[in-house]
Amino acid sequence: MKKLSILAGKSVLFLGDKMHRGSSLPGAVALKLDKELMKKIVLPKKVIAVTGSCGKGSTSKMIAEVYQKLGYKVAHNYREGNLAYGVMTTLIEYSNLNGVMDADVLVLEVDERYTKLVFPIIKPDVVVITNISRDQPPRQGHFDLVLEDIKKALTEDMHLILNADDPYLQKIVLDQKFKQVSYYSLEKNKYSTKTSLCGNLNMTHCPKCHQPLTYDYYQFEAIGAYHCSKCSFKTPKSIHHGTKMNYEKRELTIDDTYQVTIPYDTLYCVYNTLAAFTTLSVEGIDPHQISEAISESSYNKKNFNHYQYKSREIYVLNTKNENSSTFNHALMFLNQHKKNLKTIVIGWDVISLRYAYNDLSWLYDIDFEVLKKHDIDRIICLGINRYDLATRLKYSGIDTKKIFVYEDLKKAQGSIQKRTKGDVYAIINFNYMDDFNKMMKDGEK
Amino acid sequence: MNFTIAHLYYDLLNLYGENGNVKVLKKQLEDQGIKVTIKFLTIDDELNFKDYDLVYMGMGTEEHQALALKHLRKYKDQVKDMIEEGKFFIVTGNSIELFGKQIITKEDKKLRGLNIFNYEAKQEDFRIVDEALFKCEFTKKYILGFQNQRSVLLGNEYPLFRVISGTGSYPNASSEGIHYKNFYGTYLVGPLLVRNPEFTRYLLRKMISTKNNRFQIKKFNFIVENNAYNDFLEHHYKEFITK
Repeated sequence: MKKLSILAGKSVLFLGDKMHRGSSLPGAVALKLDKELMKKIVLPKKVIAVTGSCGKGSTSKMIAEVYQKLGYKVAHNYREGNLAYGVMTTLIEYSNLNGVMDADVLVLEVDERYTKLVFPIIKPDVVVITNISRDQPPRQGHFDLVLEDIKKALTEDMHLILNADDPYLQKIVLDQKFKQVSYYSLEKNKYSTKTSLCGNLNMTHCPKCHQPLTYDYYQFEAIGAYHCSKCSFKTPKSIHHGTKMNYEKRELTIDDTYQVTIPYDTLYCVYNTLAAFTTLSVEGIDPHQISEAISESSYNKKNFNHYQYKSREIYVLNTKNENSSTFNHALMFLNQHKKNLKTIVIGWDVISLRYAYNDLSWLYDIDFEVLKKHDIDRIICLGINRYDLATRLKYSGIDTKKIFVYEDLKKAQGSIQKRTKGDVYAIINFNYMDDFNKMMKDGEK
Repeated sequence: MNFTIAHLYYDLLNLYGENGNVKVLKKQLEDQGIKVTIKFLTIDDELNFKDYDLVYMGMGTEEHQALALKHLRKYKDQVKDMIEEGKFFIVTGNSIELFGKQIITKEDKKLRGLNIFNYEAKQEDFRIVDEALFKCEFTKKYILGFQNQRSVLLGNEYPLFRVISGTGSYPNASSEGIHYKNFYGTYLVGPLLVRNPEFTRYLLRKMISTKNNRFQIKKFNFIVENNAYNDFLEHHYKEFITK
């Protein structure tokens, strides 16, 4: 049965690749034939899992890439299927018909709500939890419920890799013991702030004694250098620090020693890089080799694009709907360019592909208020919620004369290309990314 | 005219963008020429309800809700008197549970409420996640909203909304929310007042005239908000507008 299920999965994988539907269907078919198949696969000696609300895809990809460059045989769910079926697909892809995986290391991105199903079977040695943020409220409820689920998946024998700057992640280790917990952090830099630029934070009070948290500085949302105003709760000690950052050159210095060229100049990219670096370092890879390999990492165009259009700079920032943190990251990116005139394009054609709910609450977790500090020519609101977006912008104190609404990208094309001025920051959903880039490329002709 | 809004537990009960409700009230009152002060207050602060014209509270995690309840219990008598005297309270999400008899948690622990209303809340194994289309007596327009909660509310004597489509206080309920004097409570989360300009206009007029009944209220500007409202109805509730 095992052989048959694996064979079936592999056949679907082959067909799926032809039809561009390869990420979850093969795993689904194989599990249908043999429910216990995941348990029967002989895994590589080393299993690394990456989970969290944001950044698990990029971080796991970076870890897998470094291993590959250093000559390891790596199994990784590069097809992006990160639920149970997607994980199964990956296991089948790298297995022979006897169910033995041909890899030295398995690097898996796992959806945060599926960790409790997947971890007991694949038993990762190392678990990276990037963050637990406000994400898909209709699906997730709220961050504490995501935390509860992840905690169910974690066991004592695991080595955790966590962001020390995120006080919320401390809730994982407060009442649970682990083999080891290794932290990374980013030191104060010119973009750090005295108060958080974001309003609705997941944590403002000490998780131990509920007194207010005090910050030396903030990096983003509730992330920064914190300590409790009453008890001993504070930022834990890190083994690797981002000590210097130069966004213009895309350079990150780690521990004052290692120079890494990061794929693109955003704060989340810095944290993802630190997570990958720390994971590889605790696995015994030489930090110089890690830095070199990350610096050669292929540019992931899925999340970020930068190009010129008729001598205007165009930045395309991919955001996820129902995830205010991705929008806040995009807005904070604007703070790197303080003086230029800006046109903002923002929108999506559907809130969620996962379900039919049209929850709009998360729009008010996005701190559009930061736009007031910039020299804005126009803000173009696109898509199905264009008036909801325009309303949100109105209540962030932006001059309503600068807000324009269009039903879709096509209808906004003339306005974006001919009537707006300054550099363009497109804060858009993934299904607008290709169309937007094509539109700008065609307009250049 | 001065108007003071107390945004209670602004840093703990802010799960689903409830600050939008405070933003719309502030801006619209300011557009009327009223000086608005927002007091952002939390569990480390002393409260004095006499100083506020309006108290607003939003939705929190179960942990944050319990922290807020513990703090607010110290002001139980003051809160009760204020509600009886007609002070404005706008309470959204699971904050409404604080004003009832008790909250029965998932672990079957009973958290003592302020006992101002007779209802009680019970946390369930399921969540109520649903679009809401409600009606109320203050406007002919439908109320648009979203429910996302772990608990149900039982024994409510003063409903605010009638359920037209959606869930309500518990599965298959016909009503939702609490309306008693100037206390307006609802499970509807997020920017409820931004999304329902007619309902908000009613509340604003009432708040202003309660404070000064000779105040000349100018026309409110809800143009974009109305476009958003109409678009949403058009996209999702077409059958209800053609009727």
